[in-house]
Amino acid sequence: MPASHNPLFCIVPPYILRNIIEHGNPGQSAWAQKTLVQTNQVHDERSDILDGKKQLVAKTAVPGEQRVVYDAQNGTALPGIAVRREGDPPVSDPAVNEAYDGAGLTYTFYSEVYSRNSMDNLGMRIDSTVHYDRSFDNAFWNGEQMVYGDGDEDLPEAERLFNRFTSSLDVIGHELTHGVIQYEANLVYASQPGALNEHFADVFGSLVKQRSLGQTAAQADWIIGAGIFTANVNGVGVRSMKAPGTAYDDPVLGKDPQPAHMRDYVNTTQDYGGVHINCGIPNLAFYRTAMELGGFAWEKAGQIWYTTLRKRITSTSSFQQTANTLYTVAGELYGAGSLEQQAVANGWAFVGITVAGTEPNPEPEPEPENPGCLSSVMQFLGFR
Amino acid sequence: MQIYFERSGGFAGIRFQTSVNTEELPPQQAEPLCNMIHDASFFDLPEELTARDAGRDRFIYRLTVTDGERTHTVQMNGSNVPEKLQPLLHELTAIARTHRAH
Repeated sequence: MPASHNPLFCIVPPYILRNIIEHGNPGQSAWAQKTLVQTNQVHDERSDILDGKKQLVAKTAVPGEQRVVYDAQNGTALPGIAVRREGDPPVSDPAVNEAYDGAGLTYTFYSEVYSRNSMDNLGMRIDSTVHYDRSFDNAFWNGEQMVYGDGDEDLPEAERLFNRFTSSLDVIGHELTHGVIQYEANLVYASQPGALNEHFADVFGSLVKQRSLGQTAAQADWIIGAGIFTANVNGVGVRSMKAPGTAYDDPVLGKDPQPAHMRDYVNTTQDYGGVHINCGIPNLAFYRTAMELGGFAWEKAGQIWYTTLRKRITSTSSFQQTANTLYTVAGELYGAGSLEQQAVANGWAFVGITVAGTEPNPEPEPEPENPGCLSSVMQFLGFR
Repeated sequence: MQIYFERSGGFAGIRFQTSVNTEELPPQQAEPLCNMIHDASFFDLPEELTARDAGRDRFIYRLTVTDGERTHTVQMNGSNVPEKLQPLLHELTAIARTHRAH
C-alpha cells in the first residue's frame, strides 16, 4: 500500500500557502502551515526516492508524537538507557513519567495550537534524559535532546534548594522550545539574541502550562519554574514574566537579578552575556501584550510571537528589531492599526522600546546597549 | 593555594561563586582540594574550553588557581568539562552554596 497523501497538498503551490500563512487570519494560517508541512514531507520523500536515498516501499504513517525517555543513572553519558518509549505504560519512577507526559503536553500544544509537528516541524523524535549527573540543579537542551537533573534530591532535606527539574511543566516546555528555536530563528546564544532565545523559550514554556491548566492570561501565574525550589527557598520560581526581578529573594540564592526595563539592561560577560537575566525585559513585554488582549494568551499574543519566531527574525536580531517585526506580524495577522498590533506596541513601550513607526514612549528613553557588546561577548565565549 | 570559582548560566541563571585559600582550611579539607587540582593537571589545561555548540541552559564555569608564582584560569561550559575536573567542580559548587548561606 503506497504512502497516502492528500492531493490538495500538491494542488495549492507552496508560495500561495506561505502567503496564506503570512496574511491569512489565524485559522487560515494554521491550515496553510499544516498543509505546507505535509506538502514538504511528501516532496522530501519523493526527492529521496528519486535520489535513490530511499526505496519506494509500503509505509504506514506514524501519527502523533514519538517520545523516548532515558535514564542517565546519575552519570553524564547521553542519552543513557531507554526506560519508556511511545505508548509504554507509566513506570514507577516519577521523573520518567513527568518527562514523558511533559513532552507529550508540549508536543500537543504545538501541534494543536500552531499545527507544528515536533521541534523540527517534521516529526522529529522527542528524546529526554532524566537523572543526569549527581546534585545536578539544572535542565538543558543539548542541540538534540532534553536533559534533566534531580536537583538536590541526594542532599539532606534541610539543605535542598532545588527539586527535580521535571516537576515543572513549563521547564519541559521551555527546553523543548529551545529545540523549536534551533530549527527556526536559531537565535545566537549571547547578549540580546541569546536573551531573546531564552525569552521565546519562557513564553512558550509558560503557554504550555497555561493551556494545560485552561488558564486565561489574567488567571495565569506567569512564573517560570514554579515548584523547582524547595520549601527552604524564599521564592515562587526562577523568573516572573509579569514582574521580573521579584521571583525570589533568598539568603542562599540571593535576589532575582532580572531587569524589567531597558534602562536597567545588564551588560555582563557572565551567563553568555546575561541571557537568563535580560530576558526579563521581553518577557514583560509579552505579558503586557497578552494582558491587554485578554483571553487565552496562546491564541493571539502566542500566534504573533510564534509567527515571528518562524524565520521572520534572524539569528542576530536585537530586542528593537524583534519588537519591530512582532509589530509588523501583528499587523499582517490582525490588520494594520488593529487592537492586537497596538497591544504589541504598548507591551514594548512599557519596557522602554518604541516600535518603529509608532509614537515614542512617554517614559525616559533607555540607554542604548553598547553596540559592540554582542561581538565582545561572542568573542569572549569563543565565537568567531 | 588560592582558588576562585564561579558558576553562571543554567536554566535558573543563578550565579554561584566562592574564593578558597587552602592554607586557611583544616588539612582534611585542604588536602582533597589540592589533590583534585593536581589530578586534573589543572595548570596544563587550555584557558578556553567553552564549546560553541554546547546547547542551551548549560552552566558556564570559571576557575582560577594561584599556587605560589603560578596563576591559571580555565573557562568551560557544561559540555566540555574534562572528566578529571568534575569532582573538583562538584566540591566547589557545594562550598559556594555553603558560603552563600553564611
